[in-house]
Amino acid sequence: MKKILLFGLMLLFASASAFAQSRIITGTVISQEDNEPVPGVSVVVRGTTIGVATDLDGKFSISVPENSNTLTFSFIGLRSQDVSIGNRSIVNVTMVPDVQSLSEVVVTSYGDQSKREITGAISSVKGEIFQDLPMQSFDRAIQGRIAGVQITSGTGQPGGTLNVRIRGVGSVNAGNDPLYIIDGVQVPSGGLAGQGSQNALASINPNDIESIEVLKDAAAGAIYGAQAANGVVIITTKRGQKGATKVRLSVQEGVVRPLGNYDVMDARQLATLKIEAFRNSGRNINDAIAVYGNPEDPNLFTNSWVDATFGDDRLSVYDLSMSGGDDKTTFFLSGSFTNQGSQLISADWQRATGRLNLSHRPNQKLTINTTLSLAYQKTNGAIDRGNFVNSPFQAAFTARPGVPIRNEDGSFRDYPSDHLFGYNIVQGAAEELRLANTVQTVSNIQLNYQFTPWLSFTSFAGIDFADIREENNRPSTIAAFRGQGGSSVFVDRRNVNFNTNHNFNFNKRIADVHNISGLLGYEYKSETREFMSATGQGFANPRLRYLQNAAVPLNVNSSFTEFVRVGFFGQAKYDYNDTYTADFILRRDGHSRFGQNVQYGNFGAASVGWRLSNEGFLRDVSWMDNLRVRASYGVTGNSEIPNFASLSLVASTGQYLGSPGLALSQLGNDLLTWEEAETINIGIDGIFFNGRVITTVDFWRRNSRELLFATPLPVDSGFGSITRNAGEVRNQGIDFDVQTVNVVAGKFRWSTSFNITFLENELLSIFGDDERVGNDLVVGLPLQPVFRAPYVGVNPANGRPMYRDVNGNYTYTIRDADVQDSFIGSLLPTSYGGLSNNFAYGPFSLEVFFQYQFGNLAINNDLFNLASTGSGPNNQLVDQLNHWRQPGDVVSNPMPWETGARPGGSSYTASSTRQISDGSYIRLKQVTLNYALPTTFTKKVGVAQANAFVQGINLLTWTNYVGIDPEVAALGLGGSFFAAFPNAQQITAGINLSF
Amino acid sequence: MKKNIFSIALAATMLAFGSCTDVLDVDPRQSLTVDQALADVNGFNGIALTMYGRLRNFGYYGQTMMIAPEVLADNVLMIANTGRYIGEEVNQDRAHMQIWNTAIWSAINDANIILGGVDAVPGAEATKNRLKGEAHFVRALTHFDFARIYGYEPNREVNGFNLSTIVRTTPTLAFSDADLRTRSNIVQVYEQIEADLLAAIDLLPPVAMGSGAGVYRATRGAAQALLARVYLYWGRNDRAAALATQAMATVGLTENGTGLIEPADYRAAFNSFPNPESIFEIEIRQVDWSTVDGVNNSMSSLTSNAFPNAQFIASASRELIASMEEGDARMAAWEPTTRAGFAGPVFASNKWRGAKGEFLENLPILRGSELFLIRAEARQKLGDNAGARADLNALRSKRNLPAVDAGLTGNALFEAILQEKRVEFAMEGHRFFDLKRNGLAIRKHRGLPPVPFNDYRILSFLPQAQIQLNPDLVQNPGY
Repeated sequence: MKKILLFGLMLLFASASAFAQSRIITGTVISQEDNEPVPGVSVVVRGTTIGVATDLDGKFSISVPENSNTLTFSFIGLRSQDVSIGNRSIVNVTMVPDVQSLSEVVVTSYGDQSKREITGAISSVKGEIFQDLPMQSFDRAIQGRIAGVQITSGTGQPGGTLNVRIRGVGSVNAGNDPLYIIDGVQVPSGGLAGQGSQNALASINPNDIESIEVLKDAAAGAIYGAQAANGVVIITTKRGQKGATKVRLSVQEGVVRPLGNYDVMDARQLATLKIEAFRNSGRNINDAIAVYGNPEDPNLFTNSWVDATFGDDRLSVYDLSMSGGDDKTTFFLSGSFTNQGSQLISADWQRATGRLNLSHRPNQKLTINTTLSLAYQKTNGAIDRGNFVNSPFQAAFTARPGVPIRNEDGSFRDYPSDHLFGYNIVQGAAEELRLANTVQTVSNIQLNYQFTPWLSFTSFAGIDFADIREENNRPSTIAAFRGQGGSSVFVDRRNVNFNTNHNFNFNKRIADVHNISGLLGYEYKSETREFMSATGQGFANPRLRYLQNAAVPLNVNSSFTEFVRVGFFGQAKYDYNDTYTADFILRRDGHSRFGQNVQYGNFGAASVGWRLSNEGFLRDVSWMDNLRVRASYGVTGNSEIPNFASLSLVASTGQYLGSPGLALSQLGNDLLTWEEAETINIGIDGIFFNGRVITTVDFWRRNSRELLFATPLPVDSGFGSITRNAGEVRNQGIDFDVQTVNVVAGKFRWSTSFNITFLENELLSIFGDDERVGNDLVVGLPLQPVFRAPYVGVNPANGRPMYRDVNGNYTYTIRDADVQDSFIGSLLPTSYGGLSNNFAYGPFSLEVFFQYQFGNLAINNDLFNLASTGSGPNNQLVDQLNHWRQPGDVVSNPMPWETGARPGGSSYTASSTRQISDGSYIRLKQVTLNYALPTTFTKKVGVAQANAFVQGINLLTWTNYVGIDPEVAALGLGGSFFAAFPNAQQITAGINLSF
Repeated sequence: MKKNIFSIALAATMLAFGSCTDVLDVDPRQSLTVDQALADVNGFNGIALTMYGRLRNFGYYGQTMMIAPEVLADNVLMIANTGRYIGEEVNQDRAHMQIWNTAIWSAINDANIILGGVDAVPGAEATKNRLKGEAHFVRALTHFDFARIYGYEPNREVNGFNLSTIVRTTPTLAFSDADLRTRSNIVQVYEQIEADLLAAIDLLPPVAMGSGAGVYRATRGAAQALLARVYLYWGRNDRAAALATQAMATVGLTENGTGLIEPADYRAAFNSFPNPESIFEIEIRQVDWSTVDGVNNSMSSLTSNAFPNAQFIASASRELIASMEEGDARMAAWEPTTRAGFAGPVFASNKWRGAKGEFLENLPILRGSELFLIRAEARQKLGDNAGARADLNALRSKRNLPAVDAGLTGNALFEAILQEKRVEFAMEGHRFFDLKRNGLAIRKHRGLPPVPFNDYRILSFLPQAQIQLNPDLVQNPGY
């Protein structure tokens, strides 16, 4: 019955529009920026569904019903405007750039909300900011773009993972990564593969992204309750729009180059240093000459392991998308291919992506949305971090320059077995296979039913599925693997993340000033991870690498782990006349990781907003377009610990005498429950001078408490730690963001985006009355403190390295107390941000973007290897030649001593501040020069818009950091590192075309 | 249509709400709960296998306990600077044995889990006794190693510092068990070790020396031999001699040395598995190692060049080789060779040739010849010079050496026994302890200064984080 009624109603509408009187209005839409016509502008008769898009010349022609008098013009990036038609039959419109972005909608998986009424701290980045940047993944693309969000690339492996910290580090042992929601699908971040860093977020082509929202405080994040303690990042991909089908093609090609390398010695320099070291330590200098060569020999052989390992490589990105639709169905279809080399000869990354985003409205009430994506990633990886002889970032610098890389016939030469375990790193990089192949989809379907104009119901189901296959083949051509006849490891991993939510949304306007909205829902989330691996040794020929060819099947392994989380949530929001807003959120979440009786936690937030600029006393202030203050308070949760952390577990431990062993592997804790983050945020949003200045300032404090803390146990108990809820960490700071249009003069326009965050971190308590955990955690200090005996240089009298002891005197031998009382700083930065300047002149535009962070120390463990003044067998930095030679020398490096074990003092390679430098840096992250080809020209070849561009990434860095790349030292990954894969410099040129 | 969607969604929601507690029931699939795992004696046998497996850790008998006591004294010449053991060779500050970590303490906890629980579960009494005996043995061995690395021996205290290791005899099964403890004094620790070994002797079956897989687990003979060694360290020489005698009887050795291998077989013995003289040996299989463990960490890679890609960083010291007598069968334990970058002859170990596979071999932890040396030293210290010489000669007869001078007594005899031990157990981890437990300065090679017995570097140091965690835990002097 109802269906028939509906059908009849629709017929009525259809006939009504067909038979009504109408008139034809034509016109041209041009852009204020360049006075060029704008194609693709949506022109809609207000209050109807009648609409057209402007053609390539910016012209439109629309049939307007008799009773309508207003046209709405809208286009992404330009300010929408309503134009009254009056008696005109020609309506020409000039569109202005949309600097005031507050009218936008923020998409959450539970429903959309207008950004204008948001009371939480949310930052947003539009996809166009990073369109066509060769940044591989969106997390890399938004680095430095958002106040309060610190993003550092922990690896230069193309397609590798990044570290994202929103408003500091709140958790000691549980995860600090934000929750990522891609089109409603909750996607875990981190690495996918074990053979080189492969970013779980890189399955999304950044060019497919419409916008990224970062929810920074509890008011914004609490609707995601249990997972929101570290913030939430919401990624929304593009959808089609009604109108003519648009096609966009972009192609770019370029080069990847090393940012820099360590300046290590040649054979003569190293031999000179080693002979000194042997002589000083009373050894036979002929032994040094036998190994390192004779520096007096004019024909002394030398070659550069560094040059043979690192160099320039290619970078190609191809991207094609198509979008459009009609009244009922819209689509966005895209495909891309990226092939990115790296500065390391063996490492590269390829990705192919495909996407189809569809929306269908079979009738006025039902909407079906789906996003389907499929990505293939192939990573040729490398050992990244760790003092491993088969890591190129270790061995290429430490290998002895006097050892030939190759034999005279060009084949690789075996490296001497007394150093680097006899591993020829160039051969290793060239011949050892470290491959990861991943197929991943992040897809969903969403049904939305609009019961009444104010009440709707949404059902959503999404999946993140990744299948990863890895191979590590170590051929018998490499000396270290010759005895085994080579070996191969095959690994398969399957990760399945599933989440579904079902919720009611309501939104009712009463008496035109009271707006009440909210939602009520349920969510289920599960994750399973499966793993299988097999190893074989003994291959008849190094070309063979599959296990079928292996003489000795060696290790087999498989594992399975899972978790389940459920949540119930509700939100109620009241808005009075766009001036006063209040928002309340409650959520109850349960997690399988926690103790049986404490699986559930309650989270929530309350926030208010007051738009001062709507008040009478400010209404006449003409330079103030908008001024609003927000305040919020809330509690969110963190559960990022291993899946069965609350249980006492008995696990397998391999074999003895051919039978399986068992061991108590973990001490359980029945009381283990949620880590909580309590957040207070006070924010001010302002828009001034006709949109010329847009600013947001947030003052915030986040207290993370009941931490999921691996509290240490005395190791004599047989266990190092147990996870308990204990301790509290406070992060507090200020996020400042301002966007200005500095100059608009004729064809010239200069605009600036600037953001900076100042923050401080303090460990408020650990457990009980305890004050410290080793030298790793100390109450009253920031997390990741650094305790090291200060290196105070070389004693001019005898060339010994000196350290400051606990009493302030110098010492040669570092004692426990000298370390324990020497707090010298933290690895966490105290400020970070980004600065972008955009210059446009006619068809030319130039973006210059800097990213920076300050206040953190960096521990570069490479200096143990490379800056020991010839103590060990490793090649050394050239600056180590500047060492103590005779009494009275005032230099920074001691008298060379073979082994560094000079009697009567600590080892030359003892941990001290000698390996530490200031990790602050400013980086010229990106420069893009774009030229928009004249449309008069492009139209002749059927192209609506064409741009040619040149861009560079990581062009310059200003830092006092001692090492290659301060960015990989940032965030204190594990406190310190050896042999990190530095980021590379990229320079590309390309074009994009729109049809 | 809308009705359908609505009701499906509602049903889904209700279902989810209704069954919320069940939804979160997720059990691990690769691990067991303690109740499941330790329901019967088989579970405890699994724990015992792990306990043995921990002994082969590279940070324990897999490498450290075998080579570090040699390098710290005068038996090893480091012939390549890879950064490993170069500090130990010159007894640098903090260059010492370090086993105070969970990997090794876990072996004690395994033993305590067995001793604390196996009696309460179903299973054959004989099996339970065997497991308890093994647990007592490993608990004694591990406590003994902590005691001799981190503390002095009884009556050898320097400046009255008499703290030894922490003693743990109760299992850590829950947080409350992992209490903060203080270091026991030396005698308390030795008494605990003695009690454990006496219990082990009662519970374990006798197994003949070198008799197949029997020596891959603890036996009565192993417990007796270890107790003999403990008494010798303790200075209870009569007991040391008595236990050595008992152990010999248990494992099938006679007074004149019969039962030991013949001189010509010395090298081959170390390439046989088990070693025919093994009383207790830890088995290793290829599967216990990752693909690079052999070349990276094995004793074979460090001390031998049997494989071309071996690191071969440790040679016998020239002083050790020079100290060996003409005709000594144990010269076969050394392969004169050369090392690029190290002038002159060097000596690769033929005890560690990786004869089981690439770099792979078992770890002999207690060998029969030690019993003769324990008893000889004990008898010498008791004044029984003739008995001491007889034991020394019994061993020497099996090493192709003549009897010592019949008039050898006193310190000269003691030094002869010490020298015999140095040669017999070179590269097996005895030398540093044999000097230290006798209160002697640590002798050094290649002209390096000896380490006086009252020097702080005689004792290793506890991890600083443990000292900071536990206010009652005292660091060794000098660190």
